[in-house]
Formats: sequence, C-alpha cells, structure tokens
Amino acid sequence: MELVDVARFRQGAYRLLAAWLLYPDRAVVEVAPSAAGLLREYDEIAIGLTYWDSWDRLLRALNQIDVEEFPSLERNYMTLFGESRAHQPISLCETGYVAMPDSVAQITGDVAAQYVASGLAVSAENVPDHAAVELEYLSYLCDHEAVSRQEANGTKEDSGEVNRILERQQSFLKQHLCMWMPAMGRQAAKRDNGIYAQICSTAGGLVVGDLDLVTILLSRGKD
Amino acid sequence: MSALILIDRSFGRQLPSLDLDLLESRLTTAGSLTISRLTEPLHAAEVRSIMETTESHSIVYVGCEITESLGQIQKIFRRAGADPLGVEVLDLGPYCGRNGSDSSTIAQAAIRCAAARVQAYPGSAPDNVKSRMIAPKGAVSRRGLFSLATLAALPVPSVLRERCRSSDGCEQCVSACPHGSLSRQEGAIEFDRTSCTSCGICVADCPWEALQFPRWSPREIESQLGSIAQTQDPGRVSLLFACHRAGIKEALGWVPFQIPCQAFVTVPLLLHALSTGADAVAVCSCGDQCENDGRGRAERCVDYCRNLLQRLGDSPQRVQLLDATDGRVDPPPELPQLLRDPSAVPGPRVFGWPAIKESLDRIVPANLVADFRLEHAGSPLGIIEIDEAVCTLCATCTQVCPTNALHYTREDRTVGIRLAPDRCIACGLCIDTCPELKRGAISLSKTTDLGFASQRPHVLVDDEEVHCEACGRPYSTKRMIRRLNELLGEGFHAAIGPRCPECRGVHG
Repeated sequence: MELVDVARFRQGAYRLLAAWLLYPDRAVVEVAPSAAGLLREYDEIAIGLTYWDSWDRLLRALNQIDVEEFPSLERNYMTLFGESRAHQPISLCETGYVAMPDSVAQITGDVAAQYVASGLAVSAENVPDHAAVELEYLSYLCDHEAVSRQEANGTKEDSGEVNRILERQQSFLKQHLCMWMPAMGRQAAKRDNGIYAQICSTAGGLVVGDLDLVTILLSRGKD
Repeated sequence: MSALILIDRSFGRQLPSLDLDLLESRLTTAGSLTISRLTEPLHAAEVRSIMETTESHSIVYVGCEITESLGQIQKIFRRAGADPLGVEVLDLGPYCGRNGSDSSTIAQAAIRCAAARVQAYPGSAPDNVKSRMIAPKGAVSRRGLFSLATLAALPVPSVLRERCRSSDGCEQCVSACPHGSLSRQEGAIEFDRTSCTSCGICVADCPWEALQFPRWSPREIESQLGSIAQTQDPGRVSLLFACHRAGIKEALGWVPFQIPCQAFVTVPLLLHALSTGADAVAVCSCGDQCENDGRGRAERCVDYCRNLLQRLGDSPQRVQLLDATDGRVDPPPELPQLLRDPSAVPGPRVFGWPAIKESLDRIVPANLVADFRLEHAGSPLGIIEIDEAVCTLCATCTQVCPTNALHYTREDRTVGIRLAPDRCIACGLCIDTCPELKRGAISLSKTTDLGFASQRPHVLVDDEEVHCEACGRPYSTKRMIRRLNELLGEGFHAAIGPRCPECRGVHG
C-alpha cells in the first residue's frame, strides 16, 4: 500500500461519512453509488484495517441506494437524530457526550482553535463539534498529508511536514473524535439498523482504527 | 456451534507420518467439529465457499510451517467474511516432528484446543481491536519507506463497567499495566489504547474479570483447558504456553497454547492445566527483551508452582520456564502421566479472585489442605494479620482492598474489620496505605496457607463507635480517640469535646 494512496483513501472515507451525517441532501444521495464505487478502488487498503467489515457493508448499502428512497432516508435520519416523544435523539455533536456541563465551552473552543490553527473557519450553518464538521476536518488533514507525501522526496524536511500533519491528526482523533464517536455508533446500532445507523457505527469504528494507523505511521516516521 | 477445521495442503505433505484420515475420524467422533481439506493455497474464495456450505464462522486454520504473516492471513479471512480474531491460526510444524510417533496425539490435542477457543470466542467491538505493524525482518528498502506493510489485528482490552469495582477503590489493572495504559479517574478506569501492547497482564490481574479481551477472554481460555481432557489418544499432552512473539521453530512434543505475553500466565492457569489433564506445562517467553518486562513475573509464577508440586511429592519438572534459543525449545520431560478429567468441560475458572483457591483445591489432596502451607514470593494468596492493640480502625485498608478481603462492618454501635481469608491476593495495598504500619498495625505474609484460606470470614478487630454529643452521628472509634490523645496529648479530646468535626466548627 503506497502511503499516498492510504492518505487519499482516508480523505475519501472521512468525506463520505461527513456528507452523510448532515441532514439528507438529494445531491449526496444521487451520487452515493458512484462514490461507493470510487472508494471500492481502495479495497486493498481498507481490507487490512480493523473496521473493514463495517466499511464493506456500508459501501454495499450505498451502492444499492436509489434516490427514490429519499423520503424514507429523511424519516430514518429523523428517527435517530430528531426530537421525538418516543425517545431521546442521538446527538451528532461531541458536546452531547460529555459528562460535565462545564466542559462544553472548553470542547467547542478547543475544536474551533484547532480548525483555526490549520487555516480553516467553521461556517455559520454548522457548530464546530458537529460530527460532519469534525470528520470533514480529518478529511482536510488527510488531503494535506497526501499532498505533502507527493511533494516529499524522502528528505528530512519534507518528512518533517508529513509528521507534523500526522501529529495533528493523532491529536484530534485522540482528544476529540475517539472520545465520543464510538459511543454514538453504539447508540445508533442499538436503536436502528438502517443506513444512518450503519454510517454512525462505521464512523465509530473508523476513528478508532484510524488512530491506531496514524500512531503506526508516526512511529515509522520517527525511526 | 460447530467449529470448522481448515487443513492446509502443506499439512499432509510436511508431516507424512501423520495419518490424516485417522486424525479426522478422531476429531469428528465427538461431534461439533467439521473438517475440510483445502485444495489450493489459502485464498478467500475457497474459504468463503466452505464457510457457506458448513455455515460455520468459528475457524481453525491448520498448517505446517506457514509462511504467510499474521496480517496476510487475517486479510484473507476478512475477505472471506470471517472475523480474523475469531480465527485460530495453528502452525503445527514446530510441534509435530516429521517422524514423531506421537504427532497424532499432539495434533489432536492442539486442534481440539484451538477449536474450543474459537467456539467460545465472544466476538469483538471496534474498541477491542487494534492494528499493529509487525516489524519486518532485515533492512527496509527505500520503496518500503513509501508503503505500508500488511497490518496485523490484535485485541486490546475494554472495561466492563458493570463488573468493574474501581468505584470501590480497586485499581489492580492500573498497577499491573507496564505501559501506563490504564488510569483511574474519578473512580472510573480509563484506557489509552495508543500505548497498549496487548500483553493482557491487566486481564490476568483483574480480581473481578471486568476486562473484556477477546481472543484471550476467560471463557476462551477455560474452554481450551477443558478440551485437553477430551483428547482421546493415550499419549502425553504437555502444554506450551507460548508468547506469540517467541518465534518458535522447533518445540517437538509440546501442544501449543498461545498467550499474549509470558506475564499473562497466572498460578491458577498453570495449576488448572495440570489438574485438567496436561502432564506438564511450560511457559515459553520471547526472552529477556520482553517489551512488557514480563520475565520476573513469569519466573515467580513458575517457581511457585514448582515449589508447590515438590511439596506435594510430585516432580517440579512438570512446570518450567523455557526460552526458545534460536527458535528451539527443549522437549517436555518424561514424567508419569496424570489422569485426565473428562468432566472438566468447559474448564474451571482461571481468572478472578475465586479462581485462585479453586485451582489450589483441585491440585492439593483434601487430606493435606488443613496443614498445607507454602511461603513464596509468588504466592497468589496471602495471610493478613492485624494487631488489635495498635489498629485504630481508620479502615483505610478496607477502602483500598481490591477484592474486599478486608471489609468494613457496622452492626449496632460496633464497627470492625472483617477478613475473608480466601480473597486475600497478597497485593500489599493494605500495607502500603496503613498509617500505623510502623507500629505494626497490619502485616502481610505471602504465604499459601490453605487451612487459613479455608476459614470462614471473621472479624479481626472491632470497637465501639464514638458519637457526637451535638448531632448524634458516629464520627470515630474509642481506639482512634485514644491514639489521638497519645499523639496530641491527653487534653486533646477534652478540649474539643466529644463532637464531630462539623459540630466542632459550629459550636466552637
């Protein structure tokens, strides 16, 4: 597996999950089968990772999605994440999983600060700790990593830049995504078995597996 | 659930002396095992087809001198739709000699053992699996710098919150972990997977079986031990608990039992293996360079068992600590065979505090229990004594005791410390925290005294509570007040009056 391809795969995986964790969008649903097909090209990489089973099932499900199902997708989304008398919605924000209310401001502040440090700003429509925003941020960092690897020729300076990006990824995964996304995945899997529960479950497994991968890449980079 | 045994083509070719038909008939006689001989080199399509035909996902892959890496094999099984942690890869090449006459017994026992494991496999959540890169041998090419070798999946533990007693003060796992991967924060155990090496020492040390560790879970281990008793061949069964990093190339005569680290082995595990039907057991380590510093721990455990056997009049050679020097392990000792216990299915408990005394009770004859005493640094049980004349009943020891061997009691206006002798695992936390240790309030002896351990729980020290004259709540004991008077002068209690700290503040 070429490391550039690994970064591109991760970029695509994070982007796909981020897109599907926003409120259903026809345009996203329409391209689901072709997006799944593109990501299938990285199967040789994904199959070596711990979340393969969940990822494989998700791509199969996306490959079979028809835009005619859009209304049922909206209903499925609201079942899990919308307000209801029957049950509590599953939170799509990191701050929905903290035990201490005092931590809310700290988390959103820290997340926003990391985006700013990477030269990004959160749009007004989304909160910084929303699942889609946090996953999109990782996608951005993976894109950055892929570009740096392509530009790198194995020189010490270039691999230093790659390591800096990997450290940023590791830090964000460890301090944020891995602290809550697995719990979101478990809750969704208990509640439902539709496409959105699969998305959440896969996201939960992906961030944990990705943290291991980034840690391995960093330990190699330091050798 | 039936286990599927996939036999690689290499198996029959490399071990011509082994009668595969006879082996298959022995294995399938007891039921619950389906044998399938692969017709091609291991690949996903054939495996998937066999899995669909047999409707089995509990797989043992048996080969001889398997050359593919663990990561590559896991990839194939993933592609076939199997959970790689639920697949047991069994390379019998090092264990069954080409001309060995007892290869059939070894192969049968090893396959049964592996099958029992996969049948008991509890499944895994994403939290329980971690990718690890196995270091390549030799120099890495420049091309290798830009690519990633196939990663292997290893299990990591997760905390079972409903069983964990960290809120009661237990932090055995935290103390056991050699990498600081576990910590206790606000009464709960937190786990850092990035530093975890999957050694499993925390799982072995947890008194409450509160750590989920698929692939080496208590049920899987116990099922494997239970399977030893089912081996029908009359030959010897000598178990080699081998660290998966030991790099064994030759271990003729042993039946492999893979463990995550030499330090994973406990006294109950070794003793249960012997009492279930193994004639000898050995722990094979990856040597002194163990990344988990497990050597000392394994040595203490093995030495204790050897001393125990010697005390019982049996050969200490039944338990050994071996190194795979240049990949070669000495053969098992030629000792009289032990009776197998076919009723041990699944096997007895090997983890958790109850397993310790259970394992000793199974191996020490009943007529020797009352007088059996063995003092040893590796003793899994201890003897606690409290000097009533010194103890102030602060009860700090009861707050830190991980197994509630020391327990704070209150009845009417009397409080006390009660000891449950069979729960003392000699951890020493009560000693470390006793404020009156220098005066000899409490002592611990690392001694297995089965007569002592068989006693019922009993109170070691008790006293009357002292109640606040203002609010009526209990706030101390008479012996604590006496001690404070000794330290601060006789006038101390008289000066503040018999009041609790809160009422002292209010009333001045």
